[in-house]
Amino acid sequence: MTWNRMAQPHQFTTSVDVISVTIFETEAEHGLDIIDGSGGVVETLRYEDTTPEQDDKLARLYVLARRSALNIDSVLERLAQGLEL
Amino acid sequence: MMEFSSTTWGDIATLVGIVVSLGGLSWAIIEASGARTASKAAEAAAKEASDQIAHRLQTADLQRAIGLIERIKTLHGNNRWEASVELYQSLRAMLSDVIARSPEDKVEVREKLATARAIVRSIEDSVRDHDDGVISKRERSRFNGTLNEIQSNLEDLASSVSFADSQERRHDRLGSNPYGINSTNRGGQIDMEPHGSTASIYHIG
Repeated sequence: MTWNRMAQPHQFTTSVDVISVTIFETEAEHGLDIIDGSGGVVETLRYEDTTPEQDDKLARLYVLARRSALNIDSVLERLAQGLEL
Repeated sequence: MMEFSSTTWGDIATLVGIVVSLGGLSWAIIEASGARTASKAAEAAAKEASDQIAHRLQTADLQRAIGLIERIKTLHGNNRWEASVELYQSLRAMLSDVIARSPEDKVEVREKLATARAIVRSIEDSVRDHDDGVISKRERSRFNGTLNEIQSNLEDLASSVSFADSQERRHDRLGSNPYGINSTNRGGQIDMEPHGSTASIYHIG
């Protein structure tokens, strides 16, 4: 699954067939939107709606999405190669 | 003698009747087979025509979407943010039309279009959030950069769809199967990597 950067910082999106998921971070709080095939937002998840456990999961998903969208693993790998670690 | 003769003629008549019936049956089978072949050919021709129309509509929608992005960027340049919001809605609707016309087996293309639509929605929401209509130059630059990448990807997709369409017609003229591997896989081979961009805001491919 490949995540993509969006126009606003701290927002990332991916699609599974025609359904898109957008995850974002605002002031260390996380939210998620699900867009259906017709392009409408069918589900939203906000910090105030979640249990602490769910927010932990959202936070972890956000980190994974960010790493994928910014290709951080590849950048770190190249950096390590450059520094001959 | 008379008895033998009438029996023989009766047998011959029966035999002739069987031969005629078998001939009729064979003819009926051949005709039915021909009709089935013709029916399949008609079905294939109808599917081909339908696919070609869908391709052309898809290309037309993509071209309109590309033009719309150009107009949105012009509106951004003139700080006409409210007007741009209306065009964002049209753009999303167009992308939804293109997605709806994409064959279900072209999952990769559908995902890329859906991602483009989600990104367009996020820009639209950001513009809406600025009630005062004041959007910084930096933000405008970021919006336009993202729109450029979407536009570039849609152009790649439009040319790929047109190419696949012309290939199908060429294969058809040459008597090849227009739904063969070349044409059906074409969409899966679309290179939609953004090019010429400084940041991979919209990484698809």
